[in-house]
Amino acid sequence: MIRNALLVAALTVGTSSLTAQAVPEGSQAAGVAAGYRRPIQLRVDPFRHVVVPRWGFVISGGLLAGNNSLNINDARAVQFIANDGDGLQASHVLDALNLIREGSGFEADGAGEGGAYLGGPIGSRLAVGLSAKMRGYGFSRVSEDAVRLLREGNGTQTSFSFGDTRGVTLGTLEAGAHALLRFGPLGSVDGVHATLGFGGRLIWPQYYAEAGVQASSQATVTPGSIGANVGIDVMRSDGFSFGTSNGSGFAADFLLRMEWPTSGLSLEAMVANVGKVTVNGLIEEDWSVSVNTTEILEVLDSLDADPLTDGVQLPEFTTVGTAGEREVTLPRIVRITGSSWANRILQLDASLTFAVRDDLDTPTIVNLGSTWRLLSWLPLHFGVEMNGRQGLGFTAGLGIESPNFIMRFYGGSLGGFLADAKGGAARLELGVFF
Amino acid sequence: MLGANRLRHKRLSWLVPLLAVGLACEFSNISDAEDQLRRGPQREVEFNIPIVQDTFVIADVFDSLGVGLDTLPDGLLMVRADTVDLTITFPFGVPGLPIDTVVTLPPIWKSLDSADLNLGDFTDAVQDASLNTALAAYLVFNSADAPAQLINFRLGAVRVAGGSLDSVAGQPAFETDGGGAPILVNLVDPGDTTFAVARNEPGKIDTLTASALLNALVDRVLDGDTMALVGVGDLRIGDGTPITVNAGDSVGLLLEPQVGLDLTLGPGGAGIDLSNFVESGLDLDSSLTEDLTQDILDSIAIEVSVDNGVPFGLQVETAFVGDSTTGDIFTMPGAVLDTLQVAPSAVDANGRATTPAADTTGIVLTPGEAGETFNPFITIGVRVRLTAPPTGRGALQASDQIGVGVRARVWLTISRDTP
Repeated sequence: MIRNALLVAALTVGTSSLTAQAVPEGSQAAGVAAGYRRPIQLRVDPFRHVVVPRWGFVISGGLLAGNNSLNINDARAVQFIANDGDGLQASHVLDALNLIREGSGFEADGAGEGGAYLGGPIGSRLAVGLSAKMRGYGFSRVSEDAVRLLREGNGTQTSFSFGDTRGVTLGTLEAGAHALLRFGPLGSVDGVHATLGFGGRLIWPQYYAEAGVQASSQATVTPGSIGANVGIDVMRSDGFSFGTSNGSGFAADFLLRMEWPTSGLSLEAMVANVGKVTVNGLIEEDWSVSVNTTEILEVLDSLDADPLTDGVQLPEFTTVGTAGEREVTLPRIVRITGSSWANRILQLDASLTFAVRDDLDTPTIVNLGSTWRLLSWLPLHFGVEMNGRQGLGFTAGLGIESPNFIMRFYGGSLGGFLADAKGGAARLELGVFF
Repeated sequence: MLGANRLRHKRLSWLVPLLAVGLACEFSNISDAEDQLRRGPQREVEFNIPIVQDTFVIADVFDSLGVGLDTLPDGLLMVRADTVDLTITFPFGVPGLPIDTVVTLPPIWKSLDSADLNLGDFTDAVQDASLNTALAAYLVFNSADAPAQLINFRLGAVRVAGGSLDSVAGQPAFETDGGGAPILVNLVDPGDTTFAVARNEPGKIDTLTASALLNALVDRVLDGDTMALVGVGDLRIGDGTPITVNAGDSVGLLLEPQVGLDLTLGPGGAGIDLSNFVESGLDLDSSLTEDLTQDILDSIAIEVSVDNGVPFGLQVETAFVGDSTTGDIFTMPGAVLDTLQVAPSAVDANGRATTPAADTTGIVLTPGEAGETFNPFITIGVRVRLTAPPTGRGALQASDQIGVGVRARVWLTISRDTP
């Protein structure tokens, strides 16, 4: 009865072909280390290594970048045309703008991390891990209205709001400690194994920059007039500064994992990267232009900050402060994952990562994957990823998972296959265990 | 074991070319690259761009067109002709004697031709219309120490041929009205039957209403005739008190025809040929011009919204060439564009504008025509035909205004399907 209920629960998170039968304890499938059953993720997973039930040292790095509109072939086409005789023309720019998905403006994001982990179990119920990493996040958006003005003209819409246009980048250094408490089997020998994980990371910002169009910024272009008021606020570090003097922050991570090894099923909920970072010593700048005219030829005059000299001199950014402070909310991870391994070869995984709308936006992400262990130490992964920014993409990976050594390489072609992808991701892990 | 590994490597070997093709392929030609960027949905795009939104006072408009216009005291716009000098020299000298005598003057005249009547671009309009308000401003002075009086002094218009006035039975052949009566204007003091000039008068200034006379005179002059403004009548010299008239003393009579733009137009209206306007074009790079006109531009419409506060409608013919030229571009192949029509304002009984008329008109430029605006220089030719209000009469006042909104509507197609 419980098993059926769990199967239904697993189906709700997207695992479709659960025909698993109970795998006797001691079988090869049950013998796959629990830490290796957790599906590898392209994005933040602070419990990635502490779940491995051996002491070990791992270095790892990953990079992810993408946008919601242009794929690799588009970028190549732009590059090819730009290097051609006449270079990029207005029609090419408009064609590229026409590729931006309607309704969301242009969005791009990226994240990267690299660092080391050291940790392992203390007894059968407790595991601890320490980590040190550098991590970076970036996000930018050009508002839908700004794109629409250029892409669709002002034939039907005459007022355009630019206030949602912004870009943020944050680079951090972090030191973390995480622990797992393992319970089970509960109830019977085939009962659930529960794992509680928690931890935190001290975070020191190394670089921060944000530029945002002021919320009131808008343009109105009617057949009789052109009016625009656009302001941009900038806060940025004065260059990259390695150390702990640029501010600090803290992020908390939580994990609850329920695993039925003999049933070949696990469910997991993770809430991670919950916290904020305060960045100080920021340079604050602003910039604004105002246009109000009835003649198109006066637009450039309105933008000219120095009418007495030839050409159009756009106003420069004005420094309004040099000791700014900004509290940045980290992009938290709220993820539900379900896995099922019907036999010793195949494991099916599904995860749902909820969208975050904050300083660093992330989209809703659904991962469906399969891990093939034709050899128990050589997992091969194939899967798909659907996310709210790039759309449907593909993931693949392979690894070597032996008792004393791991190597994992994992990649993603986001929003399309290979050159049709709107983004990509790659992750490499190398570790030794004792 | 080694063989098995080789086999597995072989099975995975398909990934290598797949990755190579997927990630390393390059476009071989510009068309393929452009097709790649055109994979978005074909989209019709419209831009509405305000070019001018302004109110123009009619007097300023004529100034900007180089037509020098003045204003009559009631605000009517008028054109001044060159001053006509009809100075009357005293026929005899008088050394301080009490004289009071009347002499009949020979015809005093001054010829006029088109060079003396500078109506500028309004020449055709005035020629095509009837003048309802035309004045002759005069300045009269007297250099003699003797009072003078013009009696039955009339002004008329006579054609000049061979340096002499046309005559009938020895009298000047004055222009006549429809009934055959000579068109003459009496020079008299207000409320009097004569025109008095005091001794040593430095300058007596006033105006005569001379609409019919100047209408006839101007029509003839604009038709190419040489006409004369002729004065005939008697001169009374002295008033019985001692006077002194020296040789060369005269009664100076300077007349300045003033043609008010109070016109009654026929059914065909009246034309105004404006000079070509040579302007700077957008001067775009040739490759950008080609890109815009061949790849994305569908058409450009120039729409003109008018609040017409002048009593005439406007029928504006335009011609356009994408270069600098001074020739008659209306005769150049393909240069003539659509004609704009603007309705006239409502007018009162005197032809003065009352309630502005709102109207919208426009022309559409093909991509080829639009592309020529991207050249370094362009020439625009404008021919305006005034069309009459329902009453036929329109009087242009200096304060009349035209509210104009000009906008460009640009239609583009982006991500156009490759034929």
